[in-house]
Amino acid sequence: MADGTKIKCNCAHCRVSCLMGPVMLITLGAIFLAAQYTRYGMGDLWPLFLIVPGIILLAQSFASREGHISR
Amino acid sequence: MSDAPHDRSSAFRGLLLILLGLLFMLHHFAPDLGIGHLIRTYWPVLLILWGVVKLAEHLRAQREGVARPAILSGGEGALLILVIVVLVGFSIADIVHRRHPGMNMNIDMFSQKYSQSLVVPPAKIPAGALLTVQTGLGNITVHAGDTDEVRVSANETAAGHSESAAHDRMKQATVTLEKSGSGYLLRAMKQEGFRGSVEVDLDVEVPKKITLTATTPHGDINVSGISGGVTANTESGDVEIHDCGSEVSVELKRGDVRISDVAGDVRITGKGSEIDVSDVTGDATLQGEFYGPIRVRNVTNTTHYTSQRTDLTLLHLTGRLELDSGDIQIADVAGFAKIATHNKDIEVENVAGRLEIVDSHGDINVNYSQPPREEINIVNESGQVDVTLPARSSFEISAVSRSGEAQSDFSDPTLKQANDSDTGRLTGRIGSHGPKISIVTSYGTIYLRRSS
Repeated sequence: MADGTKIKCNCAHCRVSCLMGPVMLITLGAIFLAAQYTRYGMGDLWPLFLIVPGIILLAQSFASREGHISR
Repeated sequence: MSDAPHDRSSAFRGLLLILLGLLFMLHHFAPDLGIGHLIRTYWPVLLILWGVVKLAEHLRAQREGVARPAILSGGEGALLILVIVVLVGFSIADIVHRRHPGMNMNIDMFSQKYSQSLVVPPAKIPAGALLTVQTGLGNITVHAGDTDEVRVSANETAAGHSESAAHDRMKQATVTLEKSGSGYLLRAMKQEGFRGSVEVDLDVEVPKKITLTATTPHGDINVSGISGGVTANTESGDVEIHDCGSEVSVELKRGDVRISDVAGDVRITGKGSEIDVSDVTGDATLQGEFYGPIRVRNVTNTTHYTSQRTDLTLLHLTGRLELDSGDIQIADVAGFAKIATHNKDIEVENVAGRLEIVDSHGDINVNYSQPPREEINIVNESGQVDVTLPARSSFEISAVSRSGEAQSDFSDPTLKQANDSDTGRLTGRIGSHGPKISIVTSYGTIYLRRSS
């Protein structure tokens, strides 16, 4: 592990936590789109920025850490 | 998040975040649900949820033979504090909202206000008709013109994230003018939306000869030139009424009131701040708790003010009455004056009729520029009494100050001034056929002064 090569952990837990960034980006985009085409905008939908990470954290806590490789 | 291999991250953080988001969403989309109230009732559920999640994780840890998770890790603690702050905020907002209904609590930084005007066809109404004007939110302005029609110009204002969203909501709200019962009803409807209300301001031109009732839970009321009776109700807003030919009645819970030139009785009830009433041919009756200042000028008949602390009646107020939290000032009353209060300083000038004052813990100052013609009766407790009369006055005085003293500028062989260790007394007669002046106080000095 000290040889400098990056080892990617492939356990379920780490795979779920990798989703956080992309899913937040998707949420942001979806909200801006909704503001254009529906009656709901950022002012209505901002709590999604709490709910979506909450769901991911919840999923993470149920995901197994079996085979986890720490760097 | 700890990276120890045995540690699964707790489900508690995720649940807290979801709960927080759902609370904000609910508060936003279902404001009528009363989130604040629900929180105040069901907050212990949060403790139970916490316990259940930790218990489940504890059991799982035991089964898998790994170390037990901490009851509260650092990240969870911070999040929990945030949740508690939000919950407390919601319940405080709920309490404030209950005390001050109509206050706009929707804090929304992404929305802007838009407005548009609404066309309401004019309608003829007969002379002397009763017109009721209502809006659920917004200002009402009614002024009389040389017309036999009711002409309405309505203006809607709504907040929205885009102009089209705001206009969508404004389309819902309607203004109708119709005959109802014995009168006519002009009202704005369907203003409530799940994202706050549409404000509808009504500016109405009416024939002079009508009777008017104007009601808005949140907004100002402005009325002028109507010859019939006027009734105005607002829960939060200022009321201004001018040039009315009959009685005027105002009920409010918060706001200022200005009324002038009324040929009839004026009645103001409820709670409020500044009150200004002038030139009333009739009675002026103020009843309730007003922070003040209260100013009343020139009332032909009786001026009557009642609050928890004060009960005051003046007949024919040709001068002014001014009242605020700490004092009462009255000048020029052609009839009698009767004042009962406590913890207020009182200043009275020139009362032609009988004067009666009951006070405590306040200083009383009475000043006449003409010799008194009727009785003066002052009862005070823990305060000084200062009476100034012109030199040519004649009267019969009886003044007692317990644990105080009595002093006089007037001198006459019959006037006895006795100040012993405990009590100050002043008794006797100046001139002949004068009215009785009786003064009682304690822990204060009684001054009887002579002006030139």
